[in-house]
Amino acid sequence: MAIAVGQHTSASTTGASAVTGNLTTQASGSVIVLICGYSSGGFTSVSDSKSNSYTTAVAEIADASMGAAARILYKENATGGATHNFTLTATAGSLLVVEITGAKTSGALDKAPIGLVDTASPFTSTSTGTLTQAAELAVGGIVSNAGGTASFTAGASFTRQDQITDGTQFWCSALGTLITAATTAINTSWTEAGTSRSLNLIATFMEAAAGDTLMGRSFYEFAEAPRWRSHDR
Amino acid sequence: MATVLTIPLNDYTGTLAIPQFNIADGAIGYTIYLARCTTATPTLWPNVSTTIEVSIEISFDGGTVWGGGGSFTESGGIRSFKGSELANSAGFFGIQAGTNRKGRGAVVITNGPMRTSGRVDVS
Repeated sequence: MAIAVGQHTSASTTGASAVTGNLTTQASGSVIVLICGYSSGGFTSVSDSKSNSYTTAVAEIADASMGAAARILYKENATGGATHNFTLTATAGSLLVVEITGAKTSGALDKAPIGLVDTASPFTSTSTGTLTQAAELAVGGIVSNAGGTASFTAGASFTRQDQITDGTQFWCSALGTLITAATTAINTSWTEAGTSRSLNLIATFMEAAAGDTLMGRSFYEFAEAPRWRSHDR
Repeated sequence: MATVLTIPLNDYTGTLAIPQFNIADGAIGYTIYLARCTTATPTLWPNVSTTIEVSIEISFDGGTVWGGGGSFTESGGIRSFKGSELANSAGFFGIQAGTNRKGRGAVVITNGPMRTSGRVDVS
């Protein structure tokens, strides 16, 4: 199965925790990626309704001038299904979620360069460097200091999947994706008229090789153990 | 962004029901706003110990079947964000595409009463 974007959603709050609406994700085998933006020093945890445990892909980057911070977390071979929702516990947290289907169920994360504070449009992330394989799915995020109603435009061939736009109440942010066909290094590039400072992050995830998975399980889980014939010994 | 529901100014205790509201075809999310304490509005939700949990349900079939649409928690008192006092507590939630979508919800208030007003906007 080719790597692809599955379900996606977002939630944001002025308060201490935000829970997204329900998604119906794949029962198993997906990579779930969470982009979290929040007030500096305010991060507590992420969780979901399927008891998945999330791993850091891009460590927290904070900007004192904005008073904001951001990070990317992910779960490979995630447990999914109906009524799948996601919780960010953080001060003034903005959460953007995307499901990736067709990715490796083990070792899916490829490149996750350090986050970047950018103060000039277009707002870009750090380059990934050369990708390990051609078929990958990049997830990029931006958290902005926009104070009015924001509208993010994704560049560098990314497709915007979700955005949070009310800058009077929330940390405006957006999530974009790009399916790659070459190992060429990539980065995100966003424009947004009301933004003068931003936190920019990117991580890439590798497509499963043909035969790597069957219904989310490794080929090797289905393979029989070798049986030795008597004359082989 | 369009306001689809207005919550009148009142002193609320216990559970404040958010009546059913319509979500226009093509809308990608909705935001719940509740007015909070500022220097200019000291009687609104003044106590930090007064907390709320806002929970929303969404229907994708006009109101027959309901599922989780998002939730958030908050506390009262004066709070600053981006250098200004927050006039509202709010929660935004993205919503899956569909037609004939509706929302409804509740605000569970602990250590009330809570004086506030509010609205739901669909974007």
